[in-house]
Amino acid sequence: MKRIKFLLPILFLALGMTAFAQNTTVKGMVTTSDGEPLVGAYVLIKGTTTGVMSDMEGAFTLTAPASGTLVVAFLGMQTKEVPVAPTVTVSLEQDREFLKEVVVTAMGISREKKALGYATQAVQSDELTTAAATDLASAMSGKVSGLQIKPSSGMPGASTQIVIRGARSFTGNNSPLYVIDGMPIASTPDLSTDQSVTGADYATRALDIDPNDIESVNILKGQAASALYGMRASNGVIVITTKSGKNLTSTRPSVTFNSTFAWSTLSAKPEVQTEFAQGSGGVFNPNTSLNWGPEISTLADDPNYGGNTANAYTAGGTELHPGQYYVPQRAAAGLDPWATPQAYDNIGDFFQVGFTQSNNVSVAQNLGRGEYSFSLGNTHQTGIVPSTGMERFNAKLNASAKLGKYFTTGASANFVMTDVNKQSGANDGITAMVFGAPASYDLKGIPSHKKDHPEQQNTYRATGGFPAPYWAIENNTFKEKSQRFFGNAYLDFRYPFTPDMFLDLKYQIGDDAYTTTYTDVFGYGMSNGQGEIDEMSYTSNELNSLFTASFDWKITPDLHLNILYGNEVVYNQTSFVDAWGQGFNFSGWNNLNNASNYASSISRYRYLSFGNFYNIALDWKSILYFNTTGRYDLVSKMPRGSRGFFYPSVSLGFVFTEIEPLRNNVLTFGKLRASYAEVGMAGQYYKSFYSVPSYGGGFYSGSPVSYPLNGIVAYSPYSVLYDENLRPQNTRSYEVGAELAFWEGLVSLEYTYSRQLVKDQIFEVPLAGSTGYQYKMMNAGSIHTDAHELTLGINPVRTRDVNLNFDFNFTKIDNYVDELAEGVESIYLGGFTEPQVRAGIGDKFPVIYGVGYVRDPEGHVVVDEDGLPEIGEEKVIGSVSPDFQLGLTTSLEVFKVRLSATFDWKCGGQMYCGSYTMMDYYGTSKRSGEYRKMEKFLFDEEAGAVKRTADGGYAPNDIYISGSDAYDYYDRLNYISESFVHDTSFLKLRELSLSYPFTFGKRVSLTLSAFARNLILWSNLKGFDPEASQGNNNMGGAFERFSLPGASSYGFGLTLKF
Amino acid sequence: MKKLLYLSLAAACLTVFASCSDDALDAVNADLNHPQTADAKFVFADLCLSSAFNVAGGDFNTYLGVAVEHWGGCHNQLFKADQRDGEWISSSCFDNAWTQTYKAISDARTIIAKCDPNSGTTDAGNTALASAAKVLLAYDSAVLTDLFGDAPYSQACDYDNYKTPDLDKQEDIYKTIFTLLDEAIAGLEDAGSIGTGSYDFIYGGKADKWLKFAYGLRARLKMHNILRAADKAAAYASILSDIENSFESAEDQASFTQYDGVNNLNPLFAFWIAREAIAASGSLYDKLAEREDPRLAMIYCYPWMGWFNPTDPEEEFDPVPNGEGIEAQEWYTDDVYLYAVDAPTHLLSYAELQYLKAEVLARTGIYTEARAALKEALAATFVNVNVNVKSSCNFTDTQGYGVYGPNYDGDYLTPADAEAYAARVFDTLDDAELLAEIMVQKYLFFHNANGGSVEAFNDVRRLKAEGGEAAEFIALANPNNATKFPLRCGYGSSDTTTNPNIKNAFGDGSYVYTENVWWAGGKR
Repeated sequence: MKRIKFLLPILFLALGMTAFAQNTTVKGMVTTSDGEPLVGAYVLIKGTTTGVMSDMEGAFTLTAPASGTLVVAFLGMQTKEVPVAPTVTVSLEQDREFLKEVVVTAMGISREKKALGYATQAVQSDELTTAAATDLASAMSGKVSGLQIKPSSGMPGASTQIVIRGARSFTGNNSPLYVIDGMPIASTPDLSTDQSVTGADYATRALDIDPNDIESVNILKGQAASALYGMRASNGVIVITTKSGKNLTSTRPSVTFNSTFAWSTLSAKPEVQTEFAQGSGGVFNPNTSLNWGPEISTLADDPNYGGNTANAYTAGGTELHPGQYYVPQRAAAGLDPWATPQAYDNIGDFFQVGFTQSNNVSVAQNLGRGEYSFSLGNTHQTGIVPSTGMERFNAKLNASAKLGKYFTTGASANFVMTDVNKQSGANDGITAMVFGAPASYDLKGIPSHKKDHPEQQNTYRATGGFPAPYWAIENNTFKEKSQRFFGNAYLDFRYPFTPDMFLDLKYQIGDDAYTTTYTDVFGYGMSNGQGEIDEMSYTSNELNSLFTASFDWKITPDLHLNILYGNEVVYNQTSFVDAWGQGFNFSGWNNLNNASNYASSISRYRYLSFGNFYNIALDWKSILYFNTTGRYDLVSKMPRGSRGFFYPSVSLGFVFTEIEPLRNNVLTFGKLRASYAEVGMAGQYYKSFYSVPSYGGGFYSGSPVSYPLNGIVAYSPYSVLYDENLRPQNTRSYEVGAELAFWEGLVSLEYTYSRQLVKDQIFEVPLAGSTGYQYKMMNAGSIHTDAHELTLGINPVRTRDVNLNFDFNFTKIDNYVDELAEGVESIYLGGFTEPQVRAGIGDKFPVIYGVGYVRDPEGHVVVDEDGLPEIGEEKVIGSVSPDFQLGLTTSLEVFKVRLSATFDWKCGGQMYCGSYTMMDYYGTSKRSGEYRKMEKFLFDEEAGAVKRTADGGYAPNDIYISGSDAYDYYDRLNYISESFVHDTSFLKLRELSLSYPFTFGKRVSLTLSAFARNLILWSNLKGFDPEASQGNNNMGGAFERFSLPGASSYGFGLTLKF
Repeated sequence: MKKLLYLSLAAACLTVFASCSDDALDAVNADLNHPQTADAKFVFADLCLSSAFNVAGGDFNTYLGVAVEHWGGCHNQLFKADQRDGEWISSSCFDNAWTQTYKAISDARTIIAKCDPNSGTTDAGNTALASAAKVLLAYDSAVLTDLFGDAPYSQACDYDNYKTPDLDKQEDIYKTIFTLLDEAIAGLEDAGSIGTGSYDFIYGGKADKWLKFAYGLRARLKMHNILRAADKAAAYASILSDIENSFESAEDQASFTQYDGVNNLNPLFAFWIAREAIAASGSLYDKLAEREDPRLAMIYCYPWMGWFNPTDPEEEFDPVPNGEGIEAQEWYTDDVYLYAVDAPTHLLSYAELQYLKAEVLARTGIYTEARAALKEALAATFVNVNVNVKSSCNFTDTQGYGVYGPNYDGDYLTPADAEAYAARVFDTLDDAELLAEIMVQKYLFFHNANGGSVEAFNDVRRLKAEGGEAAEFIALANPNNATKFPLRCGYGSSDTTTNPNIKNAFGDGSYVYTENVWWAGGKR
């Protein structure tokens, strides 16, 4: 924004050159519409180059021709002209549209949005905080086109991925670069969830950003926009500007206190059947995972466990317990073993009401020769799964000072503490035994451990894998604690050679340093073993040195040139210490110091990069805007000979409505733009090495054997080879777009089409096991993306008291895998041995791969002689990416009462829905209960399956399955992963808020608001949140299996300003 | 100090705006976390562990234990395997074991290369270590081809030259295996030590023991190929000769005994504790019951509960009815071997060789000696049963569960028990019935926690291939066997998805039910 301030006087100076005669001294005052003095406003004599700036009190003095006119301007205010008089008071109105017009692009450059030849989109502070989202990614959902925001669950601190214009890397990072106040910071997860089928999620470091601290976010979507940041920005950039005192128009301190309270609940609750008891084949079995037993009401008559019958528990009928039945788990827990049969609401019992409280206080002041802003924030959250939660403290200080005529200095410092408590999903999923709990079993009421043995789980089924949920929340813990500092200091020298030409030199040095400790504990008794603990510590320090030199020259009134040269050095050091222990000596103390077996390791990484870059902008008559950038990066992590690479970009904006014959009152602004850019991405190269072999995975839980083994440590060649000829991967992107505004912004439309071609991707290419290796880090494969982004703003009612707005954000991203390594048809991204999430040639990225149905040539599912679908081979069984997404943000303001809502519609896209389908197999879903009560049914009646005929052909399926064989039906489906794949289209009310500002005098305002978040209005996946899934990496959003669920929240907030 | 260096390096680069030298950047990018190479003994240690844990005792043994009905599958993948529903014909089924076996083969070749006199490494010229590695290479290669038939071999584990290795015929792989064993025997003849010390997890570096293992393994593998032998009599003679040069007692056997039951687990136990997917087998029980076998009292328990003798009519005995069970964990009677937390993994046992000796003697009509060998084998078997049962007690004792044996501190099966059993079961047999009994007894021995099912599977296939009466020696009960007895393991998905040679060979996977491996009379 700073640059604009300096551009403005030049623009005004250039307005004309008129001679003048009689002079008079003007003493004046510039204020805001509220009467607050305005510091640093420009006061110019119209038609001259003479002008002054208002001082600390808003006052100015200058000598001007008596008949002249003064032009008074201030950034963000509407410029005013007043006739010269001995004393003048000028009050400037805020320019509402102003902030939307100027955006911070790469490297701190502020430009008018209309000057850009590529797409960017800004989100303002109030849009981010309207419904009190605790993390930035959620706060942006539905509000930006071209972005896919993939939350993993509704848990506090859950990882959320943002992907701009599709993926560029199969297995690497696809997240945009976050730049806060001019400095890139870490935003990705420290640890990947890898296959994402065990343990808990790991948060992303973007979680450390408190949305309350943000003034505005600008999303640089394409490579042309982000090219100046070099390699790290090939995934786009999220440029965050935090609140500062710069825009304050008065010198008195401004204090804002913001507080929100919210309650959260399960966003969708699966419907369960409440008629049938645990068991199989209609026979009660108190130890099975299945719920295909007899009717609950008949349990007292069960021959083996019934209190009405003669069996082992009734001493052969001599000690009857009429109307009751024997529950071995009650006996094991030391309770009266006899219970009266009934159905329990096990899901409702387990999830609790979560609570979020967030407070933020900030003080900002513009001191005229400098400004500062200080804020403190705290977010306290408990999740809907007991034992989960988050605690975050943020402190931030920004300050800048003008040093004499040419120099400015400033600094920003942020300190963040983030603690997250999580629970596990998938193979250790805490919800497995919640969603799978038989209605007949009192999950909450029966203690989850055996009497006097807190380590021995006591539940309705075997505990070799999934834990008993109430036992798990007591015994398994997954914690993250992060402490972080990031900030920078700069010195800026700005020297005007002439009013039309100046030079700006800036040096900034910054650091982003944090340590996160992770403690993952499976308590003594998990999987009937003695437990396991992983204490991990991740430390990262990134030093960022940035020098920029900018030369700005208004060559003629119609031609404006800006040249920027920059140098960026990044030095990153990370270390990861992992102390692992297993086999606690005794129960009750799940601590590393109680482990009977230890292993520890340290991993250190260093990374150094140098970037030299330029930007040349040439503007002609506010009609044509040409921009070109280039950056040469030299990085340490590539092999010799492939370390340096140059990436260019060019863009052109053409504001055709500035051409005289095309000016009209309907299309008030029209721009066409086009750009081309290349950006690279480096991989991580090492010389091939030896490592300590590890055992685990597959069928095993944990590490069944590990080194040191009886004091011996082994080394063998690592399973991954590194290609000595690794080249940087290259993304080429073309983008064209149009920006149109009709009737002075009543309707505004922005459309962008972009095509990205990513070649030479760097990833671990899977090798045939028969080579003796598993992967090779090499260049292989290509992927292309066609993206359509459309934003449509309609402001049909815009009066003093009523304002109605609609903002639509449409995104269609088609991301196709064109090529993989030779002989490789797909690569594994995560999941089980089967099913998995993969990238496959010719498929939209990513796909679900696993056992499919057998289909006839027309694609109908083939059933066997029992009418059950045949089990087919492994193949692509689902495509994850949606057809399109449409966000709608609407707001209605009537006499300051503001009602706003954000809707998010995802159309198409599939997911492997493990919990949803397993509930059918277990027989706990309402569906399964209904099927078994049917007389008969056909497999997939609507789609029309086929059966085999004697002549080897197919005929329409008419083989009915009896309701009493419903288990066989679901059992068969359980073998066919394709039956687990469901459409996850949804319509969500992301945010709904109602607010009203009360004002007390001129200076004090109190805004009260009520809000709701993440309400599922419609979804194909009844009973589940279609966004809850496994993984914080590229498999995110594709695979659900006893994942932690989504949450909806409701609350209210207050903002006090004075 | 180093930090300062890098910082000043960064600063220097910044000030001169010039690119840094490759040397400086190499220094920054140096791998701080791994060695670039390691002495052969470090690789050898893992070769021992992986050959035992992954190849002998891992997924092959778990699945094939279901195929040969050493146990029944009762949950998820192993239940499907028992039902012949998917699994066997899926390339993901054996993918882990496939990859692990090739990794072992690759490591063995790495060791042999390091020991080459011209390798220029510190191991150059250590022929004894190379020979021990050749024994393990022969072992791993034999498991590979026994289970997969034709497989990438000469082009395998040579990525620089062969990115998608083509298949070798089983016959050719076996030729290489016998060459390896011949070389190993020559290389170990006069060596005292293989120079690894305790990095040799199997024999602690003793070359003479490796030599015995090499002979014994050669005997086993010659028997695998017996149907293809041009001169059977000569083959039998050479097998007997190899056995004579092999283990003199169980002390010599090739056994991995490093599991401690807490941090390092027997692989069958590690599988079972994580999955609880297998339980006692119905047909195995029938064979024991038919013989009123004393093992019956030792090897069954309720899941996590009391131990019992199923011949006691009061007990509720409920093994998995092979191929006809239901999918339910902790539902069927358990096999106590599943609880054998620290039982060793045998690559080749003394008992097996005695059974092999008995078989060859019986086949060559030397019945008296065959009976003696069988008795010796049985005695060794009973000792092995005790080892496994004690291991189960160790686990259940430390965990506070209730699976205790009837005679907790003592020997479960005594030499006298073995004598009595032999007298009752073998001595009453006609010579003509002896061979069948030898094979059944060997099969019962292989029902253990020591990775026996793979070789039992080889025996079953060999006898089926032999045809006639032999095909029925080991009666299996799974009704699905009529059409779906797995004749082999399916190639791993890491190759079916990346290696066109294997993809073509795998097809839809149904070949595992229809095509024998070469030594069992098949073509591939």
